[in-house]
Amino acid sequence: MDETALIQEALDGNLGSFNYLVVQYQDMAFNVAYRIMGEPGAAEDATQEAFISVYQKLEQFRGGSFKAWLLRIVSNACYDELRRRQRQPVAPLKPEVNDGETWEEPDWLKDPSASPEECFEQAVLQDAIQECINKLDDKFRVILVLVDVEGLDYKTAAAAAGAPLGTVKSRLARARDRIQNCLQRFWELLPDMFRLKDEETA
Amino acid sequence: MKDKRPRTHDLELLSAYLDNELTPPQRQELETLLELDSALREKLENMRRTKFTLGSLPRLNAPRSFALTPEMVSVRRKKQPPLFTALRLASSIAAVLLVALVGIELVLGYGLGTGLMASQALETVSDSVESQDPAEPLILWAEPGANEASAMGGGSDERSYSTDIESAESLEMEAKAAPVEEDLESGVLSEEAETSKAADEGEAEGPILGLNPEEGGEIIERSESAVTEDDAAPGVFLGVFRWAQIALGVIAATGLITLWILHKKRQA
Repeated sequence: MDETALIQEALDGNLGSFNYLVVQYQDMAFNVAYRIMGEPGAAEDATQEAFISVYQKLEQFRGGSFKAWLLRIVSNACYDELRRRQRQPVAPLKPEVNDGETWEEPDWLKDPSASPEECFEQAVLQDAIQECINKLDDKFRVILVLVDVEGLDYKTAAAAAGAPLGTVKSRLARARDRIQNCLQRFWELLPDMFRLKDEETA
Repeated sequence: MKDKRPRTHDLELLSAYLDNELTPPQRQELETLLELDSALREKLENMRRTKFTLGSLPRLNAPRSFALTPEMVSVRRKKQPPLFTALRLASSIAAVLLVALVGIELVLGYGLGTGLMASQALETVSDSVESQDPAEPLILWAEPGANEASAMGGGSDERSYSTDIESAESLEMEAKAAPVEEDLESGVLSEEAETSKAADEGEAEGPILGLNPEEGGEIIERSESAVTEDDAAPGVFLGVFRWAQIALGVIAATGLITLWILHKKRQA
């Protein structure tokens, strides 16, 4: 069934039709939320809030890209969740081992096809990248995640972020520059193909 | 580029170049720059790797289903508390009315204000005149049948009124000083006040001479009391207007503050 028909049926009160849309978009929504929030528990909360909000605001959807509209609500849910957590800090869900040496990634984040060494390297690398993403201001982080992680084009990202195209370009450039500077601290963790040129010659 | 670190504009160009979002002229301009500037080329290469690194992050699957249940929707669709809705409505209405009243005052209110001040100025003049000794009349009534031009203040037999003129002049000077000063302080001289002032200036050379209505003269104008009653209305209106604005402002502000507190409580 096509998306428009599902939306129309959901508007008529058919929750089952809406849940087809949820299943279709939940991985993308959770992935974006996780990269913005940097923490799985918070990402889950934001994703669930976003889908509830989408259902409630479905009448306000005026056509166009449902994906962009959905991602905008996900981004807003992340902003809300970030603000809420800033007011009331919560303990991180990533459990740290007592000696602080390592931590256990939740099972659902693991790549089952990778070897233990690869798994470890991937986890460390991903953690480094995510740490750098987390250090960005919210407004830069959202644009970076939408374009570079989620792979949206500028127009869709602008719609999803609720920002003008020029703002998206500007924020993305600055976000990439900051991420690049941040990743220099972790350059030895990066595989050769990811290493930055000036670090190789340093 | 003199500095190794590119300017923000160059960063934006490089970033958009990577995403193929530049217009053909921009692209050509940047490619020319890249040929000449090795630091810029290096920056572009690093940005490309950064973008690739970010893009290499694994796509995560949702840890669970986010499908909605009827309970979730019904809980979320539960209407906001009546107090919340009522406060929001009251605050909105009060704010709109307040804006409307302020707008009306801006458009018309200045006239009301000056009208009120003018009536106050007139009352001050009349009070000053009334406070004078009735034994020293400011208007010297002519005999019925006298020359009308003379009776209207156009000059008459100076011999018969010389004593009265002297005393009237001294009284007139005193009576005139205070109200004119007040008018100047208020910064506004209404048309009536100006007319009164002009008449006063004319009297500087002699008293007002008129036909006594009780002895057959006609009343030309006796509007003092009427002016005072008419101008009392804008004053009352202005007061009510001001109180209404204050009341609406208080309602709007109280409502907004209460809503904000309720909102914060709900968020917590």
